[in-house]
Amino acid sequence: MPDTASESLVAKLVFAGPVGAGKTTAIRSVTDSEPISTEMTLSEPAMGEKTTTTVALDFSAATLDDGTPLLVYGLPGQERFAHMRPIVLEGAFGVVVVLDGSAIDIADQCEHWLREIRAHRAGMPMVIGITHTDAVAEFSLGPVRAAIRRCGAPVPTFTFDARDREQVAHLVRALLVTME
Amino acid sequence: MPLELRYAGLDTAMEQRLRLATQALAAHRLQARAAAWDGTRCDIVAADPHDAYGRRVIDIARRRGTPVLEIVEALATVARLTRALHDLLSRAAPPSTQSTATAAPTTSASSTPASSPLLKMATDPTLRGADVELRRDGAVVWLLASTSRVVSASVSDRLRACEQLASNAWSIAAIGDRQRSRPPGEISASLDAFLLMGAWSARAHLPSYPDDDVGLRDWPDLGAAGTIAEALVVVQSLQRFRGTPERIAHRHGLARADVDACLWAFQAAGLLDRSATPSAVPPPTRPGGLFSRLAAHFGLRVA
Ligand SMILES: Nc1nc2c(ncn2[C@@H]2O[C@H](COP(=O)(O)OP(=O)(O)O)[C@@H](O)[C@H]2O)c(=O)[nH]1
Ligand SMILES: [Mg+2]
Repeated sequence: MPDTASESLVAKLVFAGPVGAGKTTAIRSVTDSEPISTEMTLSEPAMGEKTTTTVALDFSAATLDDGTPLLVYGLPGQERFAHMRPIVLEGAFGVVVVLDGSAIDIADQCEHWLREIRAHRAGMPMVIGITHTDAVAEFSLGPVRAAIRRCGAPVPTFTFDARDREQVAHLVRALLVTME
Repeated sequence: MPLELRYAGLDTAMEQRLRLATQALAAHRLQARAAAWDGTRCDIVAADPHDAYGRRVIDIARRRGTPVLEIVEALATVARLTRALHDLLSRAAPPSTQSTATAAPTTSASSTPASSPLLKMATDPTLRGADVELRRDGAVVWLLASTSRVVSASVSDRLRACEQLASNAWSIAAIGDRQRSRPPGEISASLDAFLLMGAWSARAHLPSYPDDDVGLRDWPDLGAAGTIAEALVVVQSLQRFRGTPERIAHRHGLARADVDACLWAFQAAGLLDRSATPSAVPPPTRPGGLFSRLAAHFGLRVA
């Protein structure tokens, strides 16, 4: 299994999830600068015809104690960005999947993301953070837990507020704890 | 009048550390004096649970309701001992005693009542994993194991119930079918984090968790319990290895009382699974030399 991060001079962390879930907000909470949205134009040869797509990626950074840069990416969920995933995930030490707790199909989204990321790299450390649960009195974690069980190995799954720096940091702590 | 600490079953080096830690309490405006256990009444007992004599003294102290500090490997520095003593004494003594350090802590502040919501939820088969209602002076808080949420009319009701989870200040009863359509309010939060924080703040007074082999299948929802990084380690351990509380504490250098608090909370949440088998999936790759720097950056203390 590639362990690119151990040799590299940067640490790379990815926040993935559907639009509106709270990725940009979470990235803002753990980095030193305002996230910038990078618009990339990519051609898509696999489609058979010559098409180009505009991809919106969040990017921000922080600095670890010894000066190592921590690069943080936000990976959007739309299928038309699927070809970007391997590129963004390459060399990441982990992925925080951000889901919107008020979405009716949250369990399906959860399953989708776990399978996507594991298809790219089976052992990729992951955690799931669920936002907006403060606004949904009837939110239930049960269906999400059932989805995780369907996908195999356990994954730390926390409800959190993406605006709260401490809660976002705690998700990353759980991610680190799973790497024994 | 200084607080009287008695120790038992410790080796000389540990005795010395304990004496230093006792003196260091002065920095917290607590005056305490350490001496070997002599069977008389005292304010706090420090003893090694792995030592036969230490264990006997712990039993006596618990029966008398004297606060006990179990001296385990994780407490092998003066700084950690001081902090553990301070935590224990602050919980045992009313705040007024603490600031003046004149009176001894109430020795009656002892183990958690079995009628407390925490222990009832963990041990009463009719309440374990059930949806229950806590009540006190008109305040109502619902603890819903079916959705892993706490529901209340206000955040302050929830915080108060959490602080008092290991006392018998709140009555507890299963939620009946007729009530379900009338929740106490709209404020919703994680049940697992609520139970963990309640158990954690009472951990000096909780009974030891039984020496059972336990496992855990689902991760508890601990996003709102960010100050308790130890719980993450306990969860990870339960999923990877199973184990008794003692083995978990030993493996990870955690205090036994910390592990017990996590287990009581997870059991009350209906998450502990005696038949769960450890995950066969190998742990993910640790990012080599980066790991300790990342851990430091995100505030994870690792051994
Ligand atoms: N109430 C609430 N709002 C949140 C939470 N997390 C994020 N938001 C808000 O949700 C909106 C969308 O967040 P954003 O970070 O732009 O989502 P993105 O599309 O995934 O990048 C913003 O207005 C955030 O302030 C949360 O936990 N609770
Ligand atoms: Mg965004």
